[in-house]
Amino acid sequence: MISFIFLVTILLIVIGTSGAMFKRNLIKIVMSVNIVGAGVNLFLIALGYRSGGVAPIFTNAPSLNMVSPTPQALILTSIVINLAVTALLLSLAVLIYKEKEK
Amino acid sequence: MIHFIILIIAIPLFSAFLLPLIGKLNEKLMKFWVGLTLLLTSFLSIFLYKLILEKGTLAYTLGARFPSLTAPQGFPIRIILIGDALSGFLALFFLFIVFLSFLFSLKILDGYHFLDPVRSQNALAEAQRKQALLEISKSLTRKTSNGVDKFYTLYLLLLVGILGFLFTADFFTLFVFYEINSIATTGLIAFFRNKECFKSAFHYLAVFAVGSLFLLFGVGLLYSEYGFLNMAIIAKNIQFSFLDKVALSFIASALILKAGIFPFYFWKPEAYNASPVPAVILSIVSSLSALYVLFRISFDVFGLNIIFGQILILFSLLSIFAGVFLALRENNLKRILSYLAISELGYVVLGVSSGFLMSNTESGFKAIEGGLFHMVNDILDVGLLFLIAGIILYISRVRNAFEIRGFARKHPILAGFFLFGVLAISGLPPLNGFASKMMIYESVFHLSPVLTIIAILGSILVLAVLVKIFASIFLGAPSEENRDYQVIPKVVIAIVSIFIILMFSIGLFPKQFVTSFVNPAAKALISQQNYINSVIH
Repeated sequence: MISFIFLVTILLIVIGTSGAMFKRNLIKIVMSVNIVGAGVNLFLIALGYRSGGVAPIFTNAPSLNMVSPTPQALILTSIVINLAVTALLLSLAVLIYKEKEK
Repeated sequence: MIHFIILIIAIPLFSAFLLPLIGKLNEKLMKFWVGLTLLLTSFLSIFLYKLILEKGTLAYTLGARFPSLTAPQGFPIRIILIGDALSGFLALFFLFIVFLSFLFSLKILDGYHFLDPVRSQNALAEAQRKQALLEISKSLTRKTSNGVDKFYTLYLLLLVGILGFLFTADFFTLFVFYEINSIATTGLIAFFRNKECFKSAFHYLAVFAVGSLFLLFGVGLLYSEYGFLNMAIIAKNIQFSFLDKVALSFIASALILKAGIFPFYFWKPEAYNASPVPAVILSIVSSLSALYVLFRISFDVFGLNIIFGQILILFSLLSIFAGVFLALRENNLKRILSYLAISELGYVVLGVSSGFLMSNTESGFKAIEGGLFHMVNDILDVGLLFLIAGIILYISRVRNAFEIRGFARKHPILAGFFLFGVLAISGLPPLNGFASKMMIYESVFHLSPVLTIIAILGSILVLAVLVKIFASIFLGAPSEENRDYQVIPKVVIAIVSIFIILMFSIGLFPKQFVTSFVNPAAKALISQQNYINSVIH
């Protein structure tokens, strides 16, 4: 199960990277960057996975078998950063498009 | 006293977010505020450096009751900042350069609103040009904000990214600062708001978004193996398994991308050409700080690995050559200089990485010293040339270096300054470039004479490139085409003279400079055990 997830993450990263390198459409480049981001985030979240674990909220947890909270905290930051980067990339794409129309 | 490290990062960050508000009130006040922030940060860095020299390496644990407490009493998962003699020195020096480039930006940046590279490249008719200028100035007076406040916001944010690189001792914080760095640089590249700039900004950000995710992937691999993100703790437990090597290659490729040396230098000419000159200075500083992190991680965290050191040496040689040869066929002044910046970074990497391959020998230590010393000289020399290029563009508004002729007649002082830059960057005595390059040549010779020969050859080619530019811009009879649109501000001349005075004084007294600044820095870099001990007692 776990190794399958890692296979998927590597597939996503490779697809995204090759898309970002070889595509010429700006929107497709933005999408490729997002795919790489999804792959890396999936990888990080899979690191903290434990089979049968519960969410790492200490107060009312039924058992002590919890998934690791650190990668979750990390990808929270990483998702926010990815969002900012995507917004910036898209706005630049819009500006390039407008300049072309002139 | 102990809070200096975090304050150096926090003050510019806080002030950056206040800037748009202050810029709404008054533009002069905003510029004053930026200056005040930079001065305060510089003073803090001086005190921090003094403190480090007195007490040795400082560790600062964020969020702890006693920040100086580290493991085992403190908790190793907390974010830890480390300031040692190397990062303290670099912070001090970088802040000085950034302050100078800020003063430069006060004068030259405003004039840049009139610079339209696409139009001036085609050399339109005079009437058309005047019309365009009139339109731009009209639009300027109509607008309440001319974007300068955004420029300085991004400027301070980029500074935060650089200082964060210097002090972080934690892989995840490294990733965050990497992103801050990339996003701020993107904004600075797009500052002129024309198509060329938007395009290079888009390319830059797309490349660095993927690069930063590679960094995060490498960090994730390390986390999966050791369960920690702290550099010192990983350094203690490192086994150099296959997974570690994969992680190292991911992290190192992201950092090499940021530094912009051989395999990943492609973004540099585009980005430097598009962004305003004060921002270019800051970008050069950020490249150097990425190199610092690269050395820190590859040699302090991962320990000495022969193959990786050899790969770095190969990259450095290739970047020395690639930079020079690509510069030979360019005719845009800023692009030529950015290619030369790539080749100068090659010398830094050559010195430090070959020094590590010869570790525990006298010449190895000298090579590391030479490499770190060249960091200082790189920013001074390349920075000086970029500042002069900025002045030339400001007064003549021409992008193609070969359009300008006979500049020396009208501005002999600029010609003199440029000549100093040329001599320094190509490593001729008695300027600073000679001192550090000589150290690198001498010590690398012990590893392999071939390296020295290649390095010297690279320097000679740099001289050839720059002599060609110098002859075409400054010598000959002035042509009718180029006329002055602006006069050179006196402050700018003073700033450039400060650069030259520094270069001269470092070139004349290299021994004193090396023993007082570079030597402790090199010692801090080579001792892996010392780095680990500063966090885990």
